[in-house]
Amino acid sequence: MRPTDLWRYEVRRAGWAALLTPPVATAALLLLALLDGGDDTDRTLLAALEMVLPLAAGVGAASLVGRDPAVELQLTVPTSYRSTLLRRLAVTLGWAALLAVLVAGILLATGGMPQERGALSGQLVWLAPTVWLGGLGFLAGAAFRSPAAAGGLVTTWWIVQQVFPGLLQGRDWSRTLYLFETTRGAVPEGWAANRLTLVATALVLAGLGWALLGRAERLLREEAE
Amino acid sequence: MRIEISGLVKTYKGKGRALDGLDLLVPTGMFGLLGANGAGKTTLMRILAGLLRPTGGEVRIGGYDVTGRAGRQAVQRVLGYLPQDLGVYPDLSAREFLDYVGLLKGIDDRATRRRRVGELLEVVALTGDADRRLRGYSGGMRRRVGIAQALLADPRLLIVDEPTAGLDPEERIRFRTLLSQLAGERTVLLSTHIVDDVAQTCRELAVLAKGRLVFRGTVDDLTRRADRRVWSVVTAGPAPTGGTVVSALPVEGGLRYRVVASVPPAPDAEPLAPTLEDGYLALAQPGAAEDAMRP
Repeated sequence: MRPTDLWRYEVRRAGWAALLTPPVATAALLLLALLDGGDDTDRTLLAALEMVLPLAAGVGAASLVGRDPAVELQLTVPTSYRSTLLRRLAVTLGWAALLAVLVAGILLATGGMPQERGALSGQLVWLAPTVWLGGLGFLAGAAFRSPAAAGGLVTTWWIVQQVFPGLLQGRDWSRTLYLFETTRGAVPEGWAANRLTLVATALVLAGLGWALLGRAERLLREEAE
Repeated sequence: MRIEISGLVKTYKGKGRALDGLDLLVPTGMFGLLGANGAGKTTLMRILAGLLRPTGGEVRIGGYDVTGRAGRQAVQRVLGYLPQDLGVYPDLSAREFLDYVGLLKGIDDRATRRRRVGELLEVVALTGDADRRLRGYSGGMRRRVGIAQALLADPRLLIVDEPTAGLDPEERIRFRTLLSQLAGERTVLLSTHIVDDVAQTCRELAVLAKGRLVFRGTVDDLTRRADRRVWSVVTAGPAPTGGTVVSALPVEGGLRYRVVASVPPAPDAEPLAPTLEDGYLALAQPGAAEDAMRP
């Protein structure tokens, strides 16, 4: 178990963008829902929970690799750099998760959470897309070593799913990878399978990112073989 | 910690060979590595620090094979590394930066870490500025922070790449003295293209050119390479040709050139006693590198 001091530094290294985007996005949507004031307030919050927070977390995760000014030093210390990056990923996703639990709590208290979801299974509304986009961001960051390119990929995939939902919802197998199954899903009985598939594939994406980061010299951009 | 390198090759895609079958033995103590830009020094340093994997050949440090993962990790536990361009976190103060690096180097006990950081800030004369953010530090001050971080975990192997670049003359001398003091039981590998840094601190050195070893020996050996090859020529005309001009000093009647050449560059050329810099330049002359590696 590493000291809490190390985690304290990694919170600072995760960066303001990764730490500020989720609360700002949540606050903006809460404000929007409150201003809206109609019957759709809960629905707006639910959409924020499933769509906006995961996007913020995904972009935050994508920004972790490729912007570390001390990467050469990091790669020569006994603490492996990919462990350090994983710690920063945990900070980014953990912070988004904390806010998501808060919003989910509000929805559960106000009856805005779909009735068939309990307090525990309701957490999969945000957890599945958050870890999936987080995993994709981490992998893209490891592959491109550019926060802009990795963040762009995460955002593009999110927009594609928003604009062309039929692309994934049209087939049984691809429906399990649809990120917005709670708010825009076409087959309610496939919800649990969708959530669990998203979580499982997110672990695969993060694992691939982990493997890619194993070659230290890939991170020294100018030296890539 | 002895460093044994044999047949080391490093190839970059599209850039050719940075290291081309390098054989080198580095003993415990202070050791200099000289070479022009692009000679392969930084690539070698990075391989030794475990940052790059060689394309071929063997590297053993203190018995550990650094071409393998376990060996690299073992070496990194006893390594202090100062890269050529040390990146720092501008939002941290020097004290915080060193504290963070201390954690990464496995100094988990807070009190031990704080004591060590305090000592090193004193060594590099940054105690007064320790709580200022690194964003506001000059290049020389950042360099000193880099030196302090390299020494944090009391390393047995210290690899410093162009450590005096950006330091003012006083800081340079202080840092050179510090490195010499640290050597003792440690191995300190000093890579530089500033010949004087090696002349003032090392007894043994190697010279690289185009990824190959062109000299390995003592400072005196390299200096002797320029015996009967250093000349003084005073002229008001064009600079002497047929050799390497080391310096040009204005004197009455023109300029006094110091020239390294195998034959006198002018009929009135006077022979001079060589320095290490002359020896280094003599190596660059046609045929000299091959001669230098002959037993």
